[in-house]
Amino acid sequence: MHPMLATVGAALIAGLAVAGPAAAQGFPDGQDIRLIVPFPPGGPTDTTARLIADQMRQNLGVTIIVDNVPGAGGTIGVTEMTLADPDGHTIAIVGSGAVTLSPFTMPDLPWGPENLTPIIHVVDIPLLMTVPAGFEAQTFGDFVNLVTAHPGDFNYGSDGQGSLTHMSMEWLKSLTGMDLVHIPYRGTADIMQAMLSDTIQTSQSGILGPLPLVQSGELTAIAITSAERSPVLPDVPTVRELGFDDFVVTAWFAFFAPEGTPAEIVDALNASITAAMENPDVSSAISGFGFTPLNSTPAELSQTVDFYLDRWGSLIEGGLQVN
Amino acid sequence: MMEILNGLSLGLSVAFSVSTLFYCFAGVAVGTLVGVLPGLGGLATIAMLMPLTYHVAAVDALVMLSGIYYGAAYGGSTASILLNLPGTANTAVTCLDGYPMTKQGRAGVALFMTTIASFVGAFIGLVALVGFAPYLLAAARSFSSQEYFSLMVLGLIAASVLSTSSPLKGLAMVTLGLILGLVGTDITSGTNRFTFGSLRLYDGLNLVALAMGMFGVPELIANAGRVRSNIVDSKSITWRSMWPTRDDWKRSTNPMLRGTGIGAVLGALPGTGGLLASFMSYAVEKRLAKDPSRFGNGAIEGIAGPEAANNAAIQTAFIPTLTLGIPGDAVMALMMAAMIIQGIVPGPGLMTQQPDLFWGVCVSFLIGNIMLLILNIPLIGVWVKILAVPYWMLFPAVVIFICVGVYSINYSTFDVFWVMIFGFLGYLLAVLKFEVAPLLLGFILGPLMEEHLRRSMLLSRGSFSTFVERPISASFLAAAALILLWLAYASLRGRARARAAKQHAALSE
Repeated sequence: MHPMLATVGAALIAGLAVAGPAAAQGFPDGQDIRLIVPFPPGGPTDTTARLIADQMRQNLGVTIIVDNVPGAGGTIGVTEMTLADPDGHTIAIVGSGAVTLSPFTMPDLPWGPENLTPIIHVVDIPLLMTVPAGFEAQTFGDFVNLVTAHPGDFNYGSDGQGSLTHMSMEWLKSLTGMDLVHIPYRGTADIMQAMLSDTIQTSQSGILGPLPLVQSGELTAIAITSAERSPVLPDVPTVRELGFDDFVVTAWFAFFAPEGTPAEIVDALNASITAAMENPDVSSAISGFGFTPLNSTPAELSQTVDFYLDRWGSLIEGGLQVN
Repeated sequence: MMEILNGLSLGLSVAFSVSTLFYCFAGVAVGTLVGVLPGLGGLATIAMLMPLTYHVAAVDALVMLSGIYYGAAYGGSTASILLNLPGTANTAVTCLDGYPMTKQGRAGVALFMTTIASFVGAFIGLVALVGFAPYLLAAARSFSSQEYFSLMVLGLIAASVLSTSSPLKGLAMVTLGLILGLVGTDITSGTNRFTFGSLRLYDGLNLVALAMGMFGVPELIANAGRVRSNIVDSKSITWRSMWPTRDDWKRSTNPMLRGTGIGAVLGALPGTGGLLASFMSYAVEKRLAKDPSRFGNGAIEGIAGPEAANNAAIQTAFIPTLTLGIPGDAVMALMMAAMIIQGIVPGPGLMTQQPDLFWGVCVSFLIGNIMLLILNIPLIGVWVKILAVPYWMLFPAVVIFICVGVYSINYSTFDVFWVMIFGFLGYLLAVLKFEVAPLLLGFILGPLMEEHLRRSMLLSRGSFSTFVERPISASFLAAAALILLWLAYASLRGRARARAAKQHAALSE
């Protein structure tokens, strides 16, 4: 659609909606909502946020200002959000790492998970555990056996000390007894490069990074970390199916408001974002990035946060160094 | 070979559609413009313009966004040459000899030669992209942290020639650069170093803020105090004065080719890219020059080589992205996001599953580079006229552009304050006759070397011999050792000669 038309269209729909059910709820009161995206513009997360914002603009009838505040793994944007008034007019889309890992890795963080009000969990990104196609173990069972037989001989790559891909593999190591050496990298691209040169023998990376290499046969996917199999790779078993019932790890994105935001405002925002996620254009676009679109209640999101805080907290108490 | 020819003919049919040509032109024109504006570069522009491409065909979207990327590389040198202000961080090296040329009234020649060098670099880089992608890819695959580390040792030693004044001052600046590069979260241990409790420092200091502050701002401060109202007399700008002399051409040809070679290889390696390529090319040219003292005083080789290297690197940077789906830098990561949004998964399957896209894009690069050549040569006259603008108008405008450009990278006013801090520091260093190029190199290479050294140690389980056991790594280190030996020999011989001359003089008295 022509951008001008889209704007005019959105404005018209916005005008209609103000007179409709949104006004009846008392929120929003016609004032703009600032949606903080703690990542630079252009990436899949930013695009997801903007798609959802477009729908919210239509179903709430107010202007949604998407504000990119990148830096320090997303925590700068969240810091800015926590300083805003808890009136529902400032919210943020936050990554799992900023909520559940930075409390452990960033001693200077001026807020904790308790300063965030959960709104809705919108996206899950499964981690795909892969090995190079030429590697001698090509299934999860063989891999665990091989590594257990040769402790300390094989390497795995992660996105850095204290990153999700590091913690997730450390958790799996503690469950299986594998002795794999951790090699930190700067990001998924570097990890993939290292896998292709056989410098490292495995990694658990957000599905989008290894997917093209799995599809072309250069890497073999031996397990996926989400609770359910991925529709993109239906033949790849979950770690859970492979006998580790508790093991579920995903990278995720969720909306949060500042601490103290009233429940009725949170519910109104939850309803608006749920409606956005149910729009087929939005969910199909999000699926296209390899993300799993979903929605949740605020209470469910709160449980998810607690689950991971508990998980990573006990790994760190068990002696894992993260900073 | 047939395969490539078939591909090219398919690509030509795609790239010569009216809409693709239009988007190609739009991309390179916008790219040139943002390249010229200091600080504002390809990354921010591509991020801002990406939403516009959601509704156009995938080929057109990719052609336009790529056009911005390589177009910015052409434009980037303009501000470096005219104002000593790197238009993009990659063109910082071009300041070293480009700005002295401007002071000598040869700005037109410098701009002309960078345009030619950019085209030559990009064109040969493109040939490498199309013809040698599999080989460059294989080379890149045999690179592990050991190879990167040894390559950077070689780079750092080769670059010891960057400094024109005293080696001690050069060393001091490299060290200062290394220290500034330490700020931020260390990925190997997760420790936050020199962050002083500020989350804003977790990602380290901003390279663009550093480059702008250290190169451009001191020049602005220094010139603000001068009586003359502009750098060159506008009457002296004629077409004739822009045409390089026969000597210029002769001096530039080989540096361009060598620069292209360096750029093509470094561009294909994820994580190194144009900035390192341009530094390496400069170091090589200075090392090979008969009279190295000309460098830093307007040597045309010092702009021809690095510009060719930078542009070649930008073309070959597409290799790992298009053929493996592994983006080498932030711009390439954005490009990949743009493709994914269009429903294309870049990777090994791209060339076989969507040959029209792959070849269309490759051919459009060629067309885009020809457009850039045609676009940039007439623009030289326009750019040079900027110098005729009085300081009181030009400088505030430049400062505004710097602020906007730096802000556009992280949307952070914090970074803009850093330009000011670096600006004052840079001015102080300029007054004390310290050079900032070694500082910039230390700032870039320091963190990379540390990362690769520590990763190598993890991979080798603590054995230093890993660097010489691997053949590629060993040959880089051998080359570095040869340079050191040669330096020592040259310095000893120089001293012996000086002594002999003294004795001779004493005897003849």
